[in-house]
Amino acid sequence: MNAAHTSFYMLAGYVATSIAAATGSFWVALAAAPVLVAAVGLALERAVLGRLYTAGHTAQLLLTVGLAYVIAEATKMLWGDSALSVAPPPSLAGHFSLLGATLPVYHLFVIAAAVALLGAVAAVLRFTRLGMVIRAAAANPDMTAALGYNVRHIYSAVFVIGLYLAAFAGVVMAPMAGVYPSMADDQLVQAFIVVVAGGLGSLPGAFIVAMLLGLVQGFGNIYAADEAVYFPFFVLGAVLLFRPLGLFGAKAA
Amino acid sequence: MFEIENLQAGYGATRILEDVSLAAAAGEIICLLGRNGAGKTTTMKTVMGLLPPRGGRISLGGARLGGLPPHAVARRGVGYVPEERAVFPSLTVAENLVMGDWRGRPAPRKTDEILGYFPRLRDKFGTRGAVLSGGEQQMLAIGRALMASPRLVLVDEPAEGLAPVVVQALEESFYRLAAAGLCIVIAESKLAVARRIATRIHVMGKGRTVFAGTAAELQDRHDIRREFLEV
Repeated sequence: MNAAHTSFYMLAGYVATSIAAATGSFWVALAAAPVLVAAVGLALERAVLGRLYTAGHTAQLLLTVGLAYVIAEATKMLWGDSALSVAPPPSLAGHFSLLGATLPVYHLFVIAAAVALLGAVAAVLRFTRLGMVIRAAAANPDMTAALGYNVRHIYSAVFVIGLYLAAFAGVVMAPMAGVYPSMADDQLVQAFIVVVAGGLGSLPGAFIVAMLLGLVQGFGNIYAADEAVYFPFFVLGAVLLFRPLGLFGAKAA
Repeated sequence: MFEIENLQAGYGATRILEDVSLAAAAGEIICLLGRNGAGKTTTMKTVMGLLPPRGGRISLGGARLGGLPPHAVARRGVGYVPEERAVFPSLTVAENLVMGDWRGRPAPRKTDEILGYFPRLRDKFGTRGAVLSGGEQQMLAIGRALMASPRLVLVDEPAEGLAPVVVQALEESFYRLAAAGLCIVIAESKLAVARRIATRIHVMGKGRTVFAGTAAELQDRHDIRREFLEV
């Protein structure tokens, strides 16, 4: 349970603005910022968060909400509270036409990056030894430990991989949506809906609900702009009404 | 040599183990025998590091095990088969077996050796753990515990809920494993099962070891059987 996850998404956006400004390269920012943010996350996990793995969800939630506030205030102290932006790389700066609409080429890059990362995560979980151990530890941590695996290290690895992915998304989204102090909160609500409605621990469930949410918001912005902000919550409510554990949720063993 | 001396453990404010002692050598099958609540499962969990000991000593081959985390206990040569079997439901039989060796992907020779003890698993190699029968799950759980070549295996209530023919197959695999030099400690609540498979029996009652000896010696101890075993 990590309510500060999207704070690292935001932090990566800010770090990327500084790296891009210093080097003049979006690609350097994309390569370096997620690694730096994941390293910060690993240090925090080692120092604080890791101590609460066995303390229950309430303690984890309280600590990570506090951490989210600390990160939010720290970014304001370092970068100010104005919105910042990162220019897309020149090679992705153009536009293209699709069904009469003119769209930025950069949007194609964002879609491709999301699909590639999703495929990579799914492949690691399904086809590698690391993925197998992660699935085992998620299903039964005590048994995994009793087979000789240090579950604490597995949790750390999963945490850092998750932070890297959030940070990568923060950098990729920076040229498209900008970087601003409340971006973590905006994404936290969306992430909560996607994870809960998809079913805790289900990658396919998260994917389907994320796509559904995107479509609902997209059409909502066109046909009912004033009410569109509520639509994601209708999606969450509708799913939980018929599937209380989410689309692909399963009861804990 | 596996040894437990004066072990004490419990959950929260509740003390379950008051004074448990046990010694087992390579090639032995030891039965921890007792009614439900006698402390058999708690003893196994404490040896495995899933529950912290509050006193006493646990050692394997002279090296201390007591107080180590579970992964460290496993890495010192202890295999564990819990009462609920804990087969990973979304992993296939092959993946469950691979999980059994923490050192890395096991050699095909090792997998073949384990399947030699449990041939029924050969046809189920690609089947997910969740859809196996109870007997197949038990065989898989024991096979998985053997993948890292442990010196000691703790098996909690292996016959529970299984058909007699499956129990017989499991017992035969225990004989073969013990003959190969493995030390096996089995938690069991049925005297008849313990008589059949154990080289020595340790009777537990109220968190204590109240008897240690052979099945024949236990036969002569009416007081122990009446107070701690008979329903």
